Amino acid sequence: MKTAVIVITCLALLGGCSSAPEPETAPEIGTFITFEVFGMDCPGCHGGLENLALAIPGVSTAQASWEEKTLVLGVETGAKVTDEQVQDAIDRANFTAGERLK
Amino acid sequence: MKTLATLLSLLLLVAASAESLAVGISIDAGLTPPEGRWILRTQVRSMSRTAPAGMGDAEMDRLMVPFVAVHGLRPQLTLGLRQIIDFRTMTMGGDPNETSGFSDLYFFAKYKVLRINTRSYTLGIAPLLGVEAPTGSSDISSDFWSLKTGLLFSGRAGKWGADLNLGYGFRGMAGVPSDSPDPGDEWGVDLALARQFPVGGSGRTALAPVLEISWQDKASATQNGDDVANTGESVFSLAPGLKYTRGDLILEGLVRIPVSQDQTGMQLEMGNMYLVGVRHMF
Repeated sequence: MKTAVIVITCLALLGGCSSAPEPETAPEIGTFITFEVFGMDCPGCHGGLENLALAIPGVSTAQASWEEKTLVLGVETGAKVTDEQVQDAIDRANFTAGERLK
Repeated sequence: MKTLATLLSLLLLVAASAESLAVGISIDAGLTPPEGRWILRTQVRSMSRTAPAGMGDAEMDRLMVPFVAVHGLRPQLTLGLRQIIDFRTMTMGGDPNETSGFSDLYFFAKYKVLRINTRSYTLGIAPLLGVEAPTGSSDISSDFWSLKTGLLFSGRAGKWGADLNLGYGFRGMAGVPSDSPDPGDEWGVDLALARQFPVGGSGRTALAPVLEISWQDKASATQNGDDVANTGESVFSLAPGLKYTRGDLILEGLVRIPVSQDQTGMQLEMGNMYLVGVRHMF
């Protein structure tokens, strides 16, 4: 059993290094929105915020940066994304929205 | 147990099928994760205990493999579950005696009471409440239920970070057999310090040296109001470590070195603990 557990753990370690599949199609992006975000302290913070931002209807890309303290969203052509929607996503990620930069 | 093993295997498969947060490696943060976030984590911990000089050649080696799943149910509320597979080898002069199995199942919840994020610093405070259930293997698991409480503080300034945990464990809250001693409570103070160094230009990778400083105290067991001999200890330890973060994946390792320890009566002394682990968030 000891050997089996170690093998499984190693598999998990190796499997953890594989990257996520690319999306099949990318919708056309009309505009980019950039917000300041405070509270991110390492690259591991990006994913949770990006997931919540991507759940906003009309947002097709999301890129957070703990070093730049920003969240950049790509908004589909014709879609409308409000500042409140973005601020809510940032709040639910336990971060704090600063100014909208763009 | 078979069902539990199957569930754990599935958990690992989920972790293995995807890619894989904060300062401490074995010390929890007072910063709760984003809503909807899942964090899967496993480690391999190797540790030993040996008899002090003049007390024979007894030795106990342990290999512990904890599996932890954490979920940000709400921005304020984090729930978690931990199961450890424990391998123990006890040697007392003759042939080694080996035991292995599941240890107690641990459920916990962390609640955000304070989170301040500014351009220059972040502060977080979260109390923690957990229950250890004696659901494991007969040779490994406790016979009783325990309640764990903690207050977790975190601070970040620039690329520096600190996590402070104050914990108290009420051991044997329920389920202690009437003819068995009451296990002693335990408390601890743990501090983790780290500095993030970005690696490459992507902004997605960082390396962080970590130093954990811990004081753990376990009271002696008692029976009929008297302390039970050879139980209870306090240990002060330092643990330098390294954490590598790449996107949602974190690889971590540390060595915990007991700097000062005091066991009541005749007990095995704690040796170094070596830890390697992986976390994946999605």
